[in-house]
Amino acid sequence: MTGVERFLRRARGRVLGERARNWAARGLAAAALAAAVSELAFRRYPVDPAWPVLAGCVLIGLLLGLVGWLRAWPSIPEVARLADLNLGSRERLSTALEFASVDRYLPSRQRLDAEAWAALADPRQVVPGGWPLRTLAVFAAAALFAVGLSILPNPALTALRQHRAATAAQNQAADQVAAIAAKESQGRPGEDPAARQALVKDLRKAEQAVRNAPNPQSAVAALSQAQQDVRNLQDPNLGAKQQGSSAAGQALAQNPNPGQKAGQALASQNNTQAASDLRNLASSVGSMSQADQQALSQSLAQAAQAAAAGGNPQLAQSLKAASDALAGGDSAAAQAALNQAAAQTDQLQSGEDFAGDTAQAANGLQQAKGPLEQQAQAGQGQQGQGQGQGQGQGQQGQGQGQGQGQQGQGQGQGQNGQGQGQGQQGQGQGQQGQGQGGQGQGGGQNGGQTGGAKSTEKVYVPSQGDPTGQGQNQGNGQGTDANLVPYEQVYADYRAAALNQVDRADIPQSERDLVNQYFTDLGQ
Amino acid sequence: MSINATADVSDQITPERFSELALAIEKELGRVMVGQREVIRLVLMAMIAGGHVLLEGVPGLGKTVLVRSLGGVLHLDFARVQFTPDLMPADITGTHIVSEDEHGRRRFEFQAGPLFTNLLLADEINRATPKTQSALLEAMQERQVTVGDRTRPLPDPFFVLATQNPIELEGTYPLPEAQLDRFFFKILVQFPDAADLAEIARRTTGAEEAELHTVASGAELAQMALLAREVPVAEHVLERAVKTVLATHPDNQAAPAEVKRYVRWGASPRGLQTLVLGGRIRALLDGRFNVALEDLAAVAPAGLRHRIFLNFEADAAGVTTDQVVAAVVEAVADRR
Repeated sequence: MTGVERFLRRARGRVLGERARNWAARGLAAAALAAAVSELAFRRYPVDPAWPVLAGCVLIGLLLGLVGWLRAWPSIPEVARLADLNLGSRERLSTALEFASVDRYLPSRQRLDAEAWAALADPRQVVPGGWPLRTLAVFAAAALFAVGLSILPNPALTALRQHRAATAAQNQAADQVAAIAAKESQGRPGEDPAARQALVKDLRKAEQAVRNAPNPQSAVAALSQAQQDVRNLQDPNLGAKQQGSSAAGQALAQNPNPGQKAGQALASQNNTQAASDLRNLASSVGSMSQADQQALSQSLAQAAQAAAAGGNPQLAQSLKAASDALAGGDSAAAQAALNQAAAQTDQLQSGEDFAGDTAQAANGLQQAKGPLEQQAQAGQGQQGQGQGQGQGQGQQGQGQGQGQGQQGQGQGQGQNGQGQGQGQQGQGQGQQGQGQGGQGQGGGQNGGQTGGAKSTEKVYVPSQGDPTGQGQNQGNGQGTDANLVPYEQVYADYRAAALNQVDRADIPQSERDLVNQYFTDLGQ
Repeated sequence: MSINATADVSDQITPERFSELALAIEKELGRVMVGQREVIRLVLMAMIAGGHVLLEGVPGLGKTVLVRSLGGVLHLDFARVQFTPDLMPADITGTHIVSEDEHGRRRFEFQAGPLFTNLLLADEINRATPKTQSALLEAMQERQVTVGDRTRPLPDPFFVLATQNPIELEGTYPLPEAQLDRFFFKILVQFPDAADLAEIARRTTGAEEAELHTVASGAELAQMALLAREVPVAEHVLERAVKTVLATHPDNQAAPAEVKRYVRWGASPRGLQTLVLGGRIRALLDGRFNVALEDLAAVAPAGLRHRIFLNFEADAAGVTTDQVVAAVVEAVADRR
């Protein structure tokens, strides 16, 4: 190995080091730039979690640096040229290397000249030392930019996360509804299969509606509608029938007679036992004495009257027929009438059972709504922030407006100078307050005109309000949103809440029916 | 190669002797030529390369003195022809004349013209007609002269050192491209500065006149030429020379903007030969044994300025070939 070659090999180490620094800086700069671009892109196309993308940027940068460094691996002739260029050796080294094997006079002299020169040269000067500061400055700037972007709030990312949470909540709710449907699909003996099928159908429909709902608000609305549909499946006369049956039982149990046991069962609304006792009574009619038959006939007549008065005319008719048959000495007819009364009692029990199932289903739907409502409120808070103007100060703003779908993003315009907000489930205050909550975009046009309601028009009612009328408007013109929510939703929510409250064993069925009837009438 | 020397030069002349001779020639010339060191150096390089030189400068700058002094220093025959519009080709090549021998018989005899010398000074060459100028073509390239049906070789070595005046262009005949290309260098003789002018006055108006000594012979010049041709050139240096020449052509992709805009026609392959050979000689004169990139750059102006032909736009813009050459050199420079 000649002196020139030794010199060049030492110089190559320096070149490699210098290129390693350069390419490392370039790789870092590329990674930082890619991360900055990614962070910018995340503002429009959010990715969650973002760390794999950022890690990919770093990886790409490092890979770029490594590949660049390897590709820039210097050959000895290249090092010779670099040395010639940077050390001012005037092509001595590269020429000597190239003519190393030429055995002529001048090339030999040239090699000697190059070796003498190389002996005095410093291989560390072949390339400039230090780090590429400009590239590092680019890296630092891009990295700072990327970090800054990652620290600043990203509305698009928030929206994405909210959307995912909403979707998860919807799916969870849909699964709950599906479980309810599966449970309720198991019918009971003696009940009306059509009603059971309708119940399951409504639940399945609600499941699909929730799963396919574009947002939690729509899902909540679908569940509310499903609750209403399910409750509509209940027999509206069930309460009266129960009341009549109970009254008949009390009348039957008052006086000593063979039907006293059945009467007690009816009075306690133990319909299954009552039906059994009535059948036993029917089978024993033929073997009763004349006096017992007469006593039973009188009790049955009183029971029939009580049943009719209580609201169960079918049972009253059967009991009356049995009473009449016994009074006429027709044991067979009495037996048939009592058996019919027993069947009606069974039907009553089936109706009660079905009503219980529907109430249970409605409760299940109500439970499924919980997480969705939380998501809906979170979304409303997000959307409503800084959008409304909240100038509504009038009384009981009854706005009409143009809704845009179920998210309440339309713009209502109050008639009484009310602030307008849109949206369902507003949490604003009614009465005198300035509305707050909701997710709409409050317009705040005092004395605004109803701008031609379209086919999607909805009727809004004040939501639960703060009695003080103090709104939560922040006074900076922001934050008012709707204090009006669609009537249907309020109605459904109130109904569901009320039925949940009364759906307890310690509340008589008649009272429960009363509440149910109230909302049924209200809905009509 | 015009210089006839076939011996193994390395046995006869060393690089040190090469530098010694060159310095001696330059020093001797410097005794009569005040300043103009770069001109002397370039003329010497061209002569070592066996090429011809076109000297351009205003009258009175010592061009003729330089050429005449070269003849003395190198112990070469010297002839001078003042080119004028009425100069005929036969006036420089020679012609057949009728002569009578001792027996009274008449015959045509060739009377050699001034071309038959080692060192020809073609003064104000652009004042001769193209016909006469073209009579030099064969002599410059082939180093022979054909008169009638006979071709006669010129003495060896044979150099043409032509001069032309950049002013007083009226009534002149610009040299055709083909002839310009045959000059190894075109050297611009600059007006001397104040110190040199004073020295000129001192030397030329006194009683003593500098006496020139012969310091080298034509044979030594030939040995120097052979040695120069052995100087190794690295591949990338050769590539740089090629790139430089190619970049003078406006249709070349690597040509700088100045070339694309102002150049009508770029340098010929003779330009490349000039760059490489001139670089070799310059390296030896610089005490090196290899051609450096800077040698090419240094030789480029003199070697290319007369081989690049500008268009009308360049004339209108006042762009010179030297500016174009500088742009080319800058464009092809390796900036790593």
